[in-house]
Amino acid sequence: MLVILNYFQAFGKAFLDQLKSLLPGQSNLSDGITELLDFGARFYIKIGGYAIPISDTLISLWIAMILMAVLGIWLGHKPKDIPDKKQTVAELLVGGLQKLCKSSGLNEQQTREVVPFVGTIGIYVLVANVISVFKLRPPAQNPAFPVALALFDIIYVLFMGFRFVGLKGFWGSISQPLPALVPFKVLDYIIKPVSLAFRLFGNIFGSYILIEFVSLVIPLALPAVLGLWFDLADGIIQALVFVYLTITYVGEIVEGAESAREIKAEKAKAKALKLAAKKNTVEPTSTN
Amino acid sequence: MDRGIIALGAGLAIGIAAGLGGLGIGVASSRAFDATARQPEIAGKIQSLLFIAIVFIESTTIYALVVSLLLMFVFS
Repeated sequence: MLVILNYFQAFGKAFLDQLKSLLPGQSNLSDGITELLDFGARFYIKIGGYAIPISDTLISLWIAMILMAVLGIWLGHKPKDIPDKKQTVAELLVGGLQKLCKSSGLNEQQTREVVPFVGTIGIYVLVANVISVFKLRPPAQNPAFPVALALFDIIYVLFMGFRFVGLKGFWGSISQPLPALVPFKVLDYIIKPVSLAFRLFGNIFGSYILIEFVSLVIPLALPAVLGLWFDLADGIIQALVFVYLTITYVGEIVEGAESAREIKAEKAKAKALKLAAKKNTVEPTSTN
Repeated sequence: MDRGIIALGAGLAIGIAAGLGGLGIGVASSRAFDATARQPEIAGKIQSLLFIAIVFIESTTIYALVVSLLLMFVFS
């Protein structure tokens, strides 16, 4: 018993010594961290009189785009009547998206229009997040990428909303419970992209900083275990959330317009009934 | 500015937000498990609803994380 205890004490002491010997090597730990936060350009491409800055984010994004294109072309290459393995995977992805669209209130035609864009965004964010497994800087740790993506996303949502329900239906979806709440509903469309961008940026940036910090302090085995969660699982979850929220926003507009139309029809019906009832009550008195 | 105060502020921000966010997720998931136990036939629907709810609760914590990271790295 004592031997084991002594062994573990010796092990702990050696481990601490190792850590201490590592830390002075990284005595400028804050310098290491500030180096991680450098979003600046690595080099410039000169075209004519302009110098185009090329940053780490851009390089990672290009690699992600190539990976995405290869993945997409490989998955969709030569579809057959009897699906093989890769076609089953592709069909599973598209089928899942279609089910999600239908459960959030879109009909068949609208689903067919929304799925390609949403699937593209999903695979793009997924590849861009998971790329940090290869020790590249994930693009979302630069605030420019999530902000641009979220702006693009909300413009698409508004465009599709107008296309599906028209201006009248959109107004109905905004002024549905109370017309006095319209300013807040309009404000909602400004808050939505901000929250989308912040969610993606915060998650990826936080996990990136954590992983890099841990691999500065304890470069032994621990970063690999943490990376399984923070690089792989978190990236996949964030991509899923992005897709889910986009579909929900489009579905919100469509459902709001529909329920506004229903409420209007009901009101008109009630009015007609009231009028008829008035006539009925008035008529007997007049005949009498 | 004084770095100690900034570190204290960053720690407090993420600490409070993470604590309350954890509380919220706990309440939401306990209710979801209750509902699943009562009606196991709609477990899938409850699960997807719980997923959205947790994402929304978690996002507020992530805003605090962004704020505290900004405090630590940008303002110090």
